[in-house]
Amino acid sequence: MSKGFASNYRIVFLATGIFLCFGGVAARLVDLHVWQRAELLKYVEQARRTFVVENARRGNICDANKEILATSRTLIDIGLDPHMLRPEDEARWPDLARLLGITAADIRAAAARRFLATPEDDEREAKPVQWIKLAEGVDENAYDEVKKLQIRGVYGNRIYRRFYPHNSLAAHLIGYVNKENVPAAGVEHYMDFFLRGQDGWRESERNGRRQEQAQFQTREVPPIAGYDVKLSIDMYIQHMIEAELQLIAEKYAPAKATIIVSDAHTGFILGLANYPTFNLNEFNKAPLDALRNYAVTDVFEPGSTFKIVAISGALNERLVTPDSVFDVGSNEVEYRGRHLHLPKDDHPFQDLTVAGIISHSSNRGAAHLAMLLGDQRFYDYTRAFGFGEKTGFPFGGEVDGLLAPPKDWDGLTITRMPMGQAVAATPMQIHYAMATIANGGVLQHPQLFREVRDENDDLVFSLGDQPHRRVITERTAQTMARLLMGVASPDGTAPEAAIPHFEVAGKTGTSQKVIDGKYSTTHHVASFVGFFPASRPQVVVSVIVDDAQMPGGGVAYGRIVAAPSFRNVALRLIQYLDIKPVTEFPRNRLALQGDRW
Amino acid sequence: MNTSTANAFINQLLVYTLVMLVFTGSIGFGTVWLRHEISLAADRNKKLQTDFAEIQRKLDQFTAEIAAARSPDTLIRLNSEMRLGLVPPRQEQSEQGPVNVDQWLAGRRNPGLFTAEIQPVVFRRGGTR
Repeated sequence: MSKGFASNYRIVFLATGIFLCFGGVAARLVDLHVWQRAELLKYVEQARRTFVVENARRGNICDANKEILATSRTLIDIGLDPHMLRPEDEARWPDLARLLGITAADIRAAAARRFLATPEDDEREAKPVQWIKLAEGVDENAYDEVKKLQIRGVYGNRIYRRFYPHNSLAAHLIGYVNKENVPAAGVEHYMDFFLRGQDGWRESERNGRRQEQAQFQTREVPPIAGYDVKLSIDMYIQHMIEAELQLIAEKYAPAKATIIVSDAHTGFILGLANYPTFNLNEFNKAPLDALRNYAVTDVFEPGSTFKIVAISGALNERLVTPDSVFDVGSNEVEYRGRHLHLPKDDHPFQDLTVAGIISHSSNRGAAHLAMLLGDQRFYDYTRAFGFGEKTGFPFGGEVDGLLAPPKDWDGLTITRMPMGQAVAATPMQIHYAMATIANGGVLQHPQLFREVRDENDDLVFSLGDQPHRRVITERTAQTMARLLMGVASPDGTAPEAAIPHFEVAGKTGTSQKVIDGKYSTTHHVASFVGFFPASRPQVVVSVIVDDAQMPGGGVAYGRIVAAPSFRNVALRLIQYLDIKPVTEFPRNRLALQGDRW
Repeated sequence: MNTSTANAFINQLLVYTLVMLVFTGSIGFGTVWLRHEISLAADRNKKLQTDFAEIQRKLDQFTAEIAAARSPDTLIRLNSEMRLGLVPPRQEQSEQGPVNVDQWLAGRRNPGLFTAEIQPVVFRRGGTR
């Protein structure tokens, strides 16, 4: 064995050198990690640490059949960085311009704008332009085409935007999310808690090229997508009533109009449309008036549709039967020791039964029935039917309507209110008052939401009907339904609404508008509110048209303006919802021919 | 190896130092390799996440396009553009009845099978009549 492979001093020298090197490295490490630690960490934090927010996807709004009414999609704002452009890419600028719907000159102008300052200024002082927008709201497919051009310096920034595939369909119900991604109206606003989801975030580092270093992710909270909200409305019923409103608008050019369709038993709204309406994708271009949901924000005197209150009340209190007879020929009546002047009827009658009062829409008859009830009881029934209080429609700025207590009535109110004057109601209140009769005497809250589901389509919760209170007995409701069938009979005020074998029950209304403090003879609100089939109601439909312009002049009666539309809607609902006739339907020769028609 | 002299001690020290250097170097290289692999795996993960997000975006885009294509307004426009002449069904074209429609249609197409009176099934023991 050798003595060693080197002399003593060389070995000591080598060993000392190695240990000094290690010592030097160790000293530097101590310097960096102990003495300069705070300063270096601060620099690293600033230069490398990054915090990225991941936006949660907003949930969809669907109809009862899961047809999407509102969804989210990404759109891209495309621009260029003038400092990164290469001369060899200029040949592809015309293709880029074509894809973005701009001219090549626009791109050239953007490319030339390299600094924020004017050309006269010193470029060294001017701030460089980092990105100039060329087009906004480009969809993913178009952006893919742009990327295929491989023009260096042209890139986009993605933004989440709400998209309403059916444009104006159910606009007043769905509402919208504005450009700042703030839900501003309708279901979007009311159900935002469920729809918006929860944004995620992650903390990591980036390199010198500002690219995120995935391996240095320290903490991450994934985003949670928003829930899907399923409404009770049916897209096809909604479209059906909006098409009908369009026909009304073309024919009568009204100031506004509303159609509401609801399930007779549950109170779920199947469709609610207003005229005028607006395009949800262009909500910022709509006039402010068009954004209002008239069905809950505007009140008017309900007119004869309000007669159901006095008649139902008198029947429910067993003060009268359908066959009780009243003298409606006289224009004066004594009530609580005072002589009251009764309102006029459109057609003079002498004696009318209760059934006749409703089918002929006698103002005097309704006044007699209200007087039988007395001020307080009549007022109580009016309140019970939901007038003078919000129906509970969840959004849209619903108003209470106007209903004064008996202590504030003047001497004539008991004769005028039963015919729908001296009281103001929203279309929704009138609709649900009629729905109370269709529902066997129980007033329902309007219900619009069916279910909330998560992104895996698992049920989060579902909503059922919301009974409010019993107003009249089931028997009285059945009697009223039978009496209301008389309105849509050949002897009634609206034979136009009748559909053979389907027992249409309803009530017309024609109320004069108050213009400059006086009842106008030229401006009316026409309405028809009804349900069918009367013996087993399935749907309640209200058609309310404000200030219809009659083509040949004359009064815009509910019978003329609203009842035909009710019938049109009802006929389509029969087809769509497969509503069976009550009485036996004659065999239809055309249908029996099968595919030969 | 001589272990009693100073030289021998230094020899040993050098050998151990070299072994230590190789060992720590291996650990160092191993760590670098490991970190590189972690980095690659993280990048692959990120790429997958990016791809997934892109697929989700495309899905949203197609969902929106499909919803728009199913819109009643779009269908009416296409009906007009393609001159299909489709109209909503009229009352006269419908057969209204209280019966089950499926059963009624089946009966119409297969009178012998569906409209004949249903015979109960009787189970008999073997050998009996």
